[in-house]
Amino acid sequence: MPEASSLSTAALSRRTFLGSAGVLTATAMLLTACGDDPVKPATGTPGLELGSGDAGLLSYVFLLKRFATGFYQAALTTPAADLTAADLAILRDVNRHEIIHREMLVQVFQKNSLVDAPTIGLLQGVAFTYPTATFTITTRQGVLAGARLIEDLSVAALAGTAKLVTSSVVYFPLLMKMLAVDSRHAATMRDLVQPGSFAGPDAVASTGSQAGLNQILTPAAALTELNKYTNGVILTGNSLPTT
Amino acid sequence: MPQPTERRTALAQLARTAAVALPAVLAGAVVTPATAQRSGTLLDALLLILRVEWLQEAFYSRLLTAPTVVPAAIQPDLALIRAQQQQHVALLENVISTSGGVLPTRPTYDFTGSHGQTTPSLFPDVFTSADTALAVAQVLEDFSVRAYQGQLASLMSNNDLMDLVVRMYAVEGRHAAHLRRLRQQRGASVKPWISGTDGDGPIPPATAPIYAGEGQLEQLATVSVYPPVKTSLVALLPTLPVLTDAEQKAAATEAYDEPLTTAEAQRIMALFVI
Repeated sequence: MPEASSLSTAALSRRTFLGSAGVLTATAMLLTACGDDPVKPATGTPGLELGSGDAGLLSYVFLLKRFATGFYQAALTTPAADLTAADLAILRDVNRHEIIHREMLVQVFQKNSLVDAPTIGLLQGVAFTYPTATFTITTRQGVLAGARLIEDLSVAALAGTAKLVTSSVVYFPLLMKMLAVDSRHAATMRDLVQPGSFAGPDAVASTGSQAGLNQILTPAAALTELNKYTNGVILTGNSLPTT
Repeated sequence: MPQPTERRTALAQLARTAAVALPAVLAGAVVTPATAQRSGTLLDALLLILRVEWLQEAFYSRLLTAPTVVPAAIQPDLALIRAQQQQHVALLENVISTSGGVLPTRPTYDFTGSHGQTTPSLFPDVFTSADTALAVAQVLEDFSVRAYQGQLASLMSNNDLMDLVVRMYAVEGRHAAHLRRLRQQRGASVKPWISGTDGDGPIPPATAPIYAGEGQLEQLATVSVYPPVKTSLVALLPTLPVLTDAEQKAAATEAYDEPLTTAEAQRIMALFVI
């Protein structure tokens, strides 16, 4: 059963439409006129400049979640033949959790008028790619290694948002609830790739002054990583909080 | 616990010079007197988290003391977890001491949950049965994730402390998932994430308090609406593929871990303290 056929046709068409870098820039330029949208066009190169404050931060997390769900969608549509039933059960669970994270952020955008509809559409239009060199979805090892990369990235990035979010009412607790579950995902994917690597030294420093601490990434660093997978569209967060 | 005046004076004096004495990762991660002197804020959050780490560190140290019931194949995993708990303890003790906080005396633990044989044992074979030992380990890790989460908001005033503690919190989630996987491989019916209230945990009813409140099907989305309106998580799942009601509810509850309040965390820790 393909877990992945979750996006509506409309969403897929929109993604295809916006996947063209030139169109994306044109769309982004239209939004300039709207004033204080959380997402603004970067000048010159095709791209998206994320907004400021909590709106920009949650937009950034939304892109991370779209990156994750896009991968699981691709990996589960025609699952690699050597994935076991147990592997698939885990991947389907994780996919559902990530979809819930992603769509909960849309609810937060809408219900608090935090991010307006055209901007949500723009964020939903970023077309992530999963190049086979990094994401070999035709083999068990490739799928799990890709999932490991995505979940470790998500954990480190969410850790980096903790000090930057200002609203303690909904935004902060929601991100921290996601972080706990993403750390469970990351450890599980790591164990599936290599048993016992759940908190290995490339995820949790084992020596030095940071020993025992999970990796942490600033939005700028995580966006640099994401930009490897956006088909040339450059995501920037120059207005995101840094302290 | 020192008296408020002592707390305030010590913190005021030491916080000024704290940064230079700390390793780079802790520079700036000091409790400022303004917040440390109030209960329910920064220092209390750090002390509660330290107690959670002490509890776990003591458990693994006792569990791994020869002769241990833990199968040889998984001893390295538990040794890594213990090492990381010890690193957390050292970092927390360092930041609390450097900030002028007074470290409490470490409690004496009874992991059978019998409070030194004064009450019926909750986990009588905790150090003689590998299955019970791993069940208690899982419970302590899940507890840690939820207890940390309950304290995080208290750290929002200090960026460096937040960075420090949230990175430990993520490591606790990794430990919890791994313990669950180890148990699954021994035949336990458990996922790496908490599903519903997990049948009140691996050893009900003793473990029920650790999982109470985890079965949330809704989350708060609105910041300023009163009364608060929660969003159904099941409704966020796609309509295709068709999932059973049970699958939808499982996914909804698994997607988010829930915090424990300070009082809940203290009550749970008291199960293991003499």
